[in-house]
Amino acid sequence: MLNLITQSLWNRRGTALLTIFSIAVSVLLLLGVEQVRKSVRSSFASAVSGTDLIVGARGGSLQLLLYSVFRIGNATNNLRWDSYETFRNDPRVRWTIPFSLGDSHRGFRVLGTNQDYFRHFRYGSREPLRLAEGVSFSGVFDAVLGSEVARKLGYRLQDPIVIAHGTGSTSFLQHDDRPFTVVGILAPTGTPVDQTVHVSLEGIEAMHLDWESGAPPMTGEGLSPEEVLRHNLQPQAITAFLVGLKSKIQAFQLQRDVSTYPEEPLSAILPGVALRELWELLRVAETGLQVISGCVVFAGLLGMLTALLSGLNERRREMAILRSVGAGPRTIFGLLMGEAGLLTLVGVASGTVLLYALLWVLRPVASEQLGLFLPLTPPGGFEAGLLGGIVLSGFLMGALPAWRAYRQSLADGMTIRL
Amino acid sequence: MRGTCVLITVIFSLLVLASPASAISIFSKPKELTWQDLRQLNTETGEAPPSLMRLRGAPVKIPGYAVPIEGDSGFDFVKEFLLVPVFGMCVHVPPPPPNQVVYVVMNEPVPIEDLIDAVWISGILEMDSITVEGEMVYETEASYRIIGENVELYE
Amino acid sequence: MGDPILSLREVRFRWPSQGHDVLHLPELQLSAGTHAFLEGPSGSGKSTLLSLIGGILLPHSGSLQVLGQDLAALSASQRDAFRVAHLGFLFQLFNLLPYLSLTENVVLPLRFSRERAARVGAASTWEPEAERLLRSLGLEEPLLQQRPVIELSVGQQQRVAAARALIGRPELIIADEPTSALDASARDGFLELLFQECEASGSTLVLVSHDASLGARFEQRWNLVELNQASGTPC
Repeated sequence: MLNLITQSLWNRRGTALLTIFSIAVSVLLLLGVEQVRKSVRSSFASAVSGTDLIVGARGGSLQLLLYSVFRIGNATNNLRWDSYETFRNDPRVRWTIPFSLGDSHRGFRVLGTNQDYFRHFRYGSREPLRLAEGVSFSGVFDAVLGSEVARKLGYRLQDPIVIAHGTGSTSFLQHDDRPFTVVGILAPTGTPVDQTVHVSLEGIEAMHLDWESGAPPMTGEGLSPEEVLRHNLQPQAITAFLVGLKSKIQAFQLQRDVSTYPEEPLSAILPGVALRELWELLRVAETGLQVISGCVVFAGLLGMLTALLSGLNERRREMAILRSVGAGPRTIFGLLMGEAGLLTLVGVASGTVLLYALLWVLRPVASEQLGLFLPLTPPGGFEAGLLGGIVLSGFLMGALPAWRAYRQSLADGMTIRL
Repeated sequence: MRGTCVLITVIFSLLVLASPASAISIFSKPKELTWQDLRQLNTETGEAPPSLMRLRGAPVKIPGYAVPIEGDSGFDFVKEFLLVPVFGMCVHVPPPPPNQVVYVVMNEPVPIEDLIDAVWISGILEMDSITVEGEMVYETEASYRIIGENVELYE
Repeated sequence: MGDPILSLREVRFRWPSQGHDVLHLPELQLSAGTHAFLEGPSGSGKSTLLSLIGGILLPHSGSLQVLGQDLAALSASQRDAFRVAHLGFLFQLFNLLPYLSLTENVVLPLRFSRERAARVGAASTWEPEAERLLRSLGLEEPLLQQRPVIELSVGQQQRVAAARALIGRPELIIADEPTSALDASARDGFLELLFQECEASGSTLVLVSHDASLGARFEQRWNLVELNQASGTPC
C-alpha cells in the first residue's frame, strides 16, 4: 500500500514536491520562530547570572537592563563615583562591578570596569569568566578582548588597538594618540561579553583626559601617554554597577534605598523582574509571530488539500483501475489518507531538517551580527507536539479527498470515465 | 470487572503516593504558614516563638507571589525567586521587612508561566542568619529560605 | 460442459432515481470454459450487466450467481474480495497505471487477493509468471523492461492489460470492448492470443462489443437487445 502511494506520488512528483516544499517552508517558519524566540530569551537571560541588582541613573528599568547588560542603546546619564562608593561599602553588599560605557572600538562596545568584573561576573548557569589567553588588565592602557572581538578583528596578544569616542562603527574622533595594548582574550561565553572590549576605569578616564571642550586636542598638542599617567585618573563617574548581595532577601530593601538615595536620582532593578517585563513586552510580538506562522502552516496544509482535491478528477481512471484489480473503496480511502499523511510527514521532516541546516549556516552570522547565540538544541516536547499535531491534521485533512474518492469509486465502479 | 478496575486504581495511586517525591506529603503533611506566622521572627535577634522554631527543616506550605531572581535556560524556567505577600513592587510603601520575604531555591526549575499568578510553595523551611563583618550590624539578620519542592496555583 | 459459471434468473435492475427497470433478463446461463460474446448498441444495458456480474451493482430482484455464489448474499467488501479472486477485467483503453512497470501492472491483482496470489505461488514467482504471460501474449524482451507503460502502443497496452486479467487464472474474464481501439489486423491477432490464453488457464471469457462481426468466433452469442425485456426506453 505504502509502495503504491509512493509510486503514485512519484508519478505526480512535480505537484507532490511543491506540496511538500510548501509544508516544509511553513514548518521551517513555525519552528524557526520558536527556536529564535528561545534563543533570544536564553541569550538575554544567560547574559546576566547571579546578579541581584543593577544600579544606574534614574530611568526605565528595561532601558537600564538593555544598556548595562546587553549593550543595547545608551545610558542617558552617568552616576557619580561617590554614590557608587556609598553602595559599594554598604554592609549588605557582597560585591559590585562598576560599568563605564560609551566608547567603541571598530563597532564593538568598550567597557570600563575593574578587577571585580573578572572576579564576580557570572553568565549562563553561574559560570565565571575565563581567559583563553593572556592576563586580565593591570595597566591603564591594557585591554582584554571578548572572544568575538579578537576572532573577527584578528587580534592577538600585544596588538595595539585604538579606541574611538562614541559607539558608531566608524568614528571620526579617534583616541589614536593613546593606543591600548591587548593583554588578554576571554573564552567564548555566548553573551554580549564576547562582543566587548574591556579596559580599566582609569583607561577610560585617561582616554578622555584632555577633551576639555568635548573634542580631542589638536594633533601634537595632546598629552603623551607618559604625561597622562602622571595625572589623577580616579574616575568621577560611571554608567552603572552590578550588585551582589550577602542575602537575596535584602534585594527589595537595597532597591528601595537606591531609588530614594538623596544625593542623586538613581534606579535599581532586579534583573529577573526586568527580564520578565521584557518577556511580557516581547510576548505580544512573539504571539503575533506564532499566530502568523501557525496560519502559514494551515495555508500549507490547505494547499495540499487543494492539490489533492483537484488531482482527484484526473485520477478517476487510476481509482477505477485499482478497483478493477480488487482494491475496495476502503483501500481507495486509505490510499488518499495515506497520501496526505505521507506528504505532511515528509514536509514536516524536511522542514525540520531545513531549519537545522539553516540554523547551522546562520549561527556564525547571527552571533557576529546580532550577538545572538543560536544553540542547535533538538526540538523539545512543545515542538514535538506541534509537529505531531501538524502531521495528524494533515493526515486527517486527507479524509476529505479520501471521502470524495471513496464516493466517486462507489459511483464509478469499474467503468472508466474520461 | 468494575471491582478489579477500582482495585488497580487504588494500588496504582498508593504506589504513586509512596514514591519518594511525595514522601513528605504522606508521612508529614506540610504545615501551612501565613505571613502573620512568619512575622513572629525577630529579624534583629533571630528569635522566634518555639512553634515557629520547630518548623526549621520541616515541610511547609506558604502562599504568595514570586519575584524571579535566577533563571535557567533563558528565564523560561526559574530556579530561584523571592516569595512576597503582595504582587508587584509598590513605590508608595517601604519594601517588605525581611521576615515578609522568603528566598526560595527550587530543587527543579519551574516554568515562569507557573509563577505569574499567586502560588503555593511547598518545601523545607530554613532560617538563615546573615553574618556581617565589621562593627556595623545591619538590622536584617535572620531570614527565611525554602528548599522548594513544589509549586501550585493558589485558588 | 461444466457447471454454470454464470447463472441469471429473472434479474431486474433499476436506478434508484428511475421508476422503471433498465434491465430485465429472464434467463441467462454460461457454462465453464465457454466463450461468450455479448453484443448490443450502447445504452442497451451492457455496462449495467457487467457491473451486476462484477458485484458493483446488485439486482433489484431475481437471482444472480457467479460460480454458484449468490452475490447479493455477500457484503460490499466480500464482493470486492470475491471479484478480485475470481474475475479478471479488461477494458477498452487506458487500463494501466502509468507509474508502475509492465510486470508491476500485471501482478496488481495478486497484491489485492490472497486467493488469487495463492494460485500463482510465492511472491518471488509472481514476476516470472507475469513475464511468461506477457511473452505468450507477444510482448518480447526489450519491451518488458520498458518503464513508462504509456509509451507502449495501444495494442501492446491491451496485451499487458490482458496479462493482468489472466494472471492467477481467474475463472471468469470479462473484456469490455477490448479491441475497439485497435485496427482490424491487430484486433484479430489480439483476440487469437486472448482465446489461447483463456484456454490455457481454463478461464471462461465474456467479451462485450458493439462490433457484431467478432461474434462468429464465439461459441455463445448474446444479443442484449433481444435478451433485455425491460420495458423502459433505452436512453
